[in-house]
Amino acid sequence: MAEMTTTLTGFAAATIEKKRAAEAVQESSQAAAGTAEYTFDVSHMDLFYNEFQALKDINMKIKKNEITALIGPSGCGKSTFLKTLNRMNDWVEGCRVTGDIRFEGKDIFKEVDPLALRYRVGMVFQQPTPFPKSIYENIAYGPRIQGIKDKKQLDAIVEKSLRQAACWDEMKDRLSKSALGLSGGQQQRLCIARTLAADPSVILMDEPTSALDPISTQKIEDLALELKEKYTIVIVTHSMQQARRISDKTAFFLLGELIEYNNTLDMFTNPSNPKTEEYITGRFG
Amino acid sequence: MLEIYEKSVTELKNDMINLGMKVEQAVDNAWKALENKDVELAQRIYDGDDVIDDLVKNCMKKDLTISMMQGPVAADYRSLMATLKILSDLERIADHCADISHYVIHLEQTHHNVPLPQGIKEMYGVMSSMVSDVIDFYKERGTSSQASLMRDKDDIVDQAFNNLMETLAAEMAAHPENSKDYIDLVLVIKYIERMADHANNIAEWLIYRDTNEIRI
Repeated sequence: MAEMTTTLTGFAAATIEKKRAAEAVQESSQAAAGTAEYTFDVSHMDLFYNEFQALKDINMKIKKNEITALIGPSGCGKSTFLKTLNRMNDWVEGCRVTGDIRFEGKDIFKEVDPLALRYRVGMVFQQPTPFPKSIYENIAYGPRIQGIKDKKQLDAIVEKSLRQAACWDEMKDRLSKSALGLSGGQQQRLCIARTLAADPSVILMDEPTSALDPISTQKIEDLALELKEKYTIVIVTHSMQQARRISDKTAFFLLGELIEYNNTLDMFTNPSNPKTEEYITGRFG
Repeated sequence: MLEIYEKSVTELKNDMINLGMKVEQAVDNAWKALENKDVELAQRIYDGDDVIDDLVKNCMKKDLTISMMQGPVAADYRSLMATLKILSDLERIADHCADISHYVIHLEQTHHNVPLPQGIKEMYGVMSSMVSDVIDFYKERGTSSQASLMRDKDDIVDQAFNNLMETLAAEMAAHPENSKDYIDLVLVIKYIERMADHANNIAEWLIYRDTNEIRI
């Protein structure tokens, strides 16, 4: 708890400086974006939790404006991999990463500030995590701590983000109401809108629909398909139907190794590795 | 879920093998009826087509149900899709056995006793061996290399068809009084040629099942 307070205080204090760093990353990445086909380029990445090696020699290029699904049994390393992409694992004690991870051409450990990275690589979690604040404040919170004070500007960001997350019509008349009063599906879309408000280029989703009913799941899936026009999406999912429905590429992880990474259609019609075939056809274990 | 899947797939496979046997039997019997002018046997084949149609329908239902309920992928998916296509071809082969039987009866009713043209037995034999082969190949995976040989056999049948057409045209010119019978025989050899095509189609779907390659 004491540690978290320290982090948050540090986080708030460094905001302005980080914002500048974020802008610098954005500018340089925008310059590269015109030509860069891949958002992430991971090579020879190993990840250790103390002595335990959770990811082994991962090589993977994640293409821009595509949905990449990460599948595999529990404990295979897919969520660990996801969290490494925006350095969320930095907070995990004993976590050590080696190898090369490049985000829009830059080494995320050497050339990019972690906070700036997290503005550009947003994350949505399994359980919706709205702040106990109004719908408006949930969205405005990020831009505000980034230093945006102008009400009109904030209003515009809130509206744009909610529209992009397909929430505007159902939430525009209750912006001042608590976000905790929304349904689970609405809360999750609000969290996506909150992520979009930080103007990311990548959205990481860690089982974003596993706590939702089929209708809310469908809305999130439709949303992901719309958002990929502008963003790169990496999604961890336990639902292979979901991976088939929405992803362009699928990566199958097993015991910390990337077993197969392929076009989703090819992976589910003719997987090249027998282990993938065993897993996706339910003959695993 | 997996246990149910395996069980239903095994059940479908057994039904397919049973259907395959019935179709093979119909193909054998259709030749016997044609060669021996066995009207009674021809009538049995003709009537038996409904039984085969019911078996086909039953297999199709099972295949579609498994696809819908289990959402199979990879080789499982390809196998169910291939089976569905193969069922259509088996059904057509059996239909042509009934068609040939219909003309056996018709030929006998005319009392002209036009002989079967030379080479028809060999043509029928090649086609019949294709049907037996592909039904055998269906039973096991990994038979695509053998299945690909069916294309050569199909070419032999096509060539035999062309030769027989010429023979029958010449016969018809020589014996115009029997032209109706010769027309019946033209139809019979056309059915034999189509049956070989369907056997070849089955081979192509077996190749798809095993390799994900669509050749048709």
